[in-house]
Amino acid sequence: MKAKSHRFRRNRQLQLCGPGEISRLEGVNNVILEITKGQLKDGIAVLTLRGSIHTGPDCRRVEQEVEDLLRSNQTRAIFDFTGITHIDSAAIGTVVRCYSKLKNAGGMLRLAGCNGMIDSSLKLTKVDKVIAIFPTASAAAEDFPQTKPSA
Amino acid sequence: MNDWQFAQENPAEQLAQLYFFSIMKRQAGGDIPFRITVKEFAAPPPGQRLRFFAEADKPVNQKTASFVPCGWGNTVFNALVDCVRLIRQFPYEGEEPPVPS
Repeated sequence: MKAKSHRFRRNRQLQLCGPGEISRLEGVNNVILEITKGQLKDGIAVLTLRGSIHTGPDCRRVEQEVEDLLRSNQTRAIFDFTGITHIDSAAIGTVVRCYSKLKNAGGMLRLAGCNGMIDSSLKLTKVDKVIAIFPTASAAAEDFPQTKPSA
Repeated sequence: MNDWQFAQENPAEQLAQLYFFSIMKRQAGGDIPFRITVKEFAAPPPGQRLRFFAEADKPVNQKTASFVPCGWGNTVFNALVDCVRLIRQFPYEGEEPPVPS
């Protein structure tokens, strides 16, 4: 039953993508993206991501989560990438877009748990010069100013 | 496997064949020429799992969160398309202003 559900989700994901994106989804590193929303001190939102982030539905889901945060006036967020095994360049674009949205709303974004391929990708694109990266979500939370910045 | 790849002894050497591309970014205020280099590594470089890596010659989105458009994949096409997509999606906002002394 679990395998059937997984197959359905994979087929659905393929249907949602354009023709150019399908080959990428059939790669070896594709695991369905799971996003868990949590809270740390001072209303800092933590999005814990697991699996892989690829162009198409995965990126849209991440952006949707950030838009949901902004709708509930949460402008400080951490992306915890500890459980992420692979990202493509569209995911880098998504991280930059989310950072811009939060920054424009007077907030900020921190990244945590970027290992291996993720860390390497952020350095290659020089995103690490713009968005602060921390080993853990709690270390990232410590870096936020005590008071919520005004919008 | 192409013969040139046998020239590499160790993946840390990062031997690669280069492919060069050029594209005009269309945006208000004028077209911006971008040059893209795609590297076909003999073996995935440290930290990566894919052999093709594309990188633009200049950053985008400088006013908000400057970054260099890149792409990676199993083919020149996949890496190039990913890089071009980021060039299209984000504005080129000129060189970063010099830091006042």
